[in-house]
Amino acid sequence: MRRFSPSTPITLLFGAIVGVALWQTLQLGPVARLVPLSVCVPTLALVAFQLALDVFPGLARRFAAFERRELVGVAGVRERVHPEHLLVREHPTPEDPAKPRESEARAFAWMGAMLASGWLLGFALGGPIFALLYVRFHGRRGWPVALAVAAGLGAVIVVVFDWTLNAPLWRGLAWAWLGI
Amino acid sequence: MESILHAALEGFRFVFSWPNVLYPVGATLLCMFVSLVPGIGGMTLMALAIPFTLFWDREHVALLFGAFMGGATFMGSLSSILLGIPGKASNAATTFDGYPMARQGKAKTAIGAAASASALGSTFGVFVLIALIPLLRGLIVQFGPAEFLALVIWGLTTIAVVTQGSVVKGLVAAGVGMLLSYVGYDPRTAELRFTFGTLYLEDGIPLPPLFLGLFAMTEMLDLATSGRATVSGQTKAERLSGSLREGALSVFRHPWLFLRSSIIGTVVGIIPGVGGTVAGFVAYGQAAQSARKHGGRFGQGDIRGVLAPEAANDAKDAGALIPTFAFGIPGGTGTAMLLTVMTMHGIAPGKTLLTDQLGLVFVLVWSLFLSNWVTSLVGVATVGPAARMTVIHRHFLVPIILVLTTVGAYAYQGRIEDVCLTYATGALGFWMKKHGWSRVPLVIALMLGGIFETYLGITLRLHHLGRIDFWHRPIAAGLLAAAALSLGLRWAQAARGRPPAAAQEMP
Repeated sequence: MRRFSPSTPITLLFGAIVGVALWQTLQLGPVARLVPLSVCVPTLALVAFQLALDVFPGLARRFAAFERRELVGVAGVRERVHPEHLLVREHPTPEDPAKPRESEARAFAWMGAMLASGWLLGFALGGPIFALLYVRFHGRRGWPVALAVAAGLGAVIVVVFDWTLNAPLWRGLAWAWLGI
Repeated sequence: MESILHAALEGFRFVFSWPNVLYPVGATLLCMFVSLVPGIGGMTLMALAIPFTLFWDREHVALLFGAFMGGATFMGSLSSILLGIPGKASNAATTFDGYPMARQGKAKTAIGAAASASALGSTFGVFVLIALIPLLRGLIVQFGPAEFLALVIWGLTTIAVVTQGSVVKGLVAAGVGMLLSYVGYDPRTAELRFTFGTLYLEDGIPLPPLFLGLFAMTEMLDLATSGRATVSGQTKAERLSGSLREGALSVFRHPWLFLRSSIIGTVVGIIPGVGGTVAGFVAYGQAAQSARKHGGRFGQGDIRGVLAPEAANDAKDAGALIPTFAFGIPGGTGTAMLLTVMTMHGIAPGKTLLTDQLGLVFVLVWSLFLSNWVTSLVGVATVGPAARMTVIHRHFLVPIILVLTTVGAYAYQGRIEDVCLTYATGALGFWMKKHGWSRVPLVIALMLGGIFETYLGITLRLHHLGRIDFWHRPIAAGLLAAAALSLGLRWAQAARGRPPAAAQEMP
């Protein structure tokens, strides 16, 4: 038995979603719950099976053919081609396991920064400010380049979304707080 | 038949008239630009375009999305050949022989072969689609609720079984996708389901923000965390040599290979959830098997290894439109997005679309046709600068796409909840991609879940009233048999103990 595979949190998340859906389904009337219930039960069973595959390596080996498979008609093709030419990989192989985690945390932090800046300052202003900071500090480019990217992006947002499409643009909460 | 030819001509005139022709050409050029960047394909662009087209008329939307469907395919093969990195998962098979050819100084020959196979393959697919429309119109009238239900069941089993990666994970993702499709009002009793008391979820989960998250946001996160300095991981493009003409003419030296590959592509395109990766690999596999008898050098720079996957990959686009137009069953993520856009503009797939709105179908088909030729011709003409575009620094791309995704998600309905949904599904999609969970079953099940429930309800009601006998309907029985067969084949394949495959890119 191993502790967890990297994909176990996804399995658990899906298990939680299906579990909550099952609990909600049971509160519904007989007609409204028919299909959701018939989806919830087998999906929950599959989640449990996937969790078992994640946790027990012996079981995973036994069901290896179901775990990852080759396409019909393609088996054998890969053995004939030179592996060094096949550069497609599902996941890049990290040299240092801490590095991807660090870069993921950084990426999610920047994503949060975009959400926060857009939410507070509005998309027409918050978006370009985010781009300016991202290019300048994360991309380590000079101020002129960062300003050019931000200005271009701001122009695209205003011209395309506001003027051309007349689409709604979030104004931002900060202006309301400041009474502007 | 006359009405079909008339609609085809009308559609042709509309697409090729001024200024309408600018839409597919412009969209194709945009798609070409985006698709050159490895890892960011037409799906990202399609997702980003959904909010832009909200206020457009349906013909121009068809022009745009037809071009998007065709515009990305060939350009993805450029990075496959030049850098050995597929622009899209569906171009992976091209890498096997395209990249060795580039390293042997035949980059232009490989690109010429890919361009001509791609353009001619798509032309083959489009003409098969046009030829099948009369047949489809006849077939649709034979389809009642029971047949549609059986078709949806077949579609669901196929996506779970054929989608690359773990079968169990594919089935779980499909189950979650179906459950997500039941958020909102129950169509029969108007009971609220899975809304948690929020007004936002009462109309169901809005698909455009979900697509923006699952595709555009996910790809950006993936790119941001990839650790590559440039989007392709290369600092400079390969020097180009070889003969474009020789490559382009190679299709005519291998007509049967081209024909077989195009047929494979079209058939694979029709099957829901299978997609271009399978089309490319299966075509490559059959080409390699038949070439073995004649001493082929597959994997070491054989031009047939470029021709076969490229022809199949482009022929599958038109094939995927067949179940989409006729039954509302998406063949893949691209057609799922197309269905969403069609629904947003009040276009319902099925008999009405193939009879009263046939002109609209042809607008999309000719736009797809035009975009495939434009990509091939422009791609060949601009191969030098295009190669340099694959080395764009990711630090410019990530913030731009992230901001446009956020603004696009909000522009859909003017609701900040849509932005939150996009970010949440973006994070989910990123983790799914990273840990081997394919997003395709989730998306297709999300599209099929509602249809499944509707037709199951009608079929059960009619069966209860004694109006239909489900088990004595040959088409429904045939479709259910196909569903059982696809599951059975998978089971048999697994029972034989086929070894686990090498790592594959997860869509």
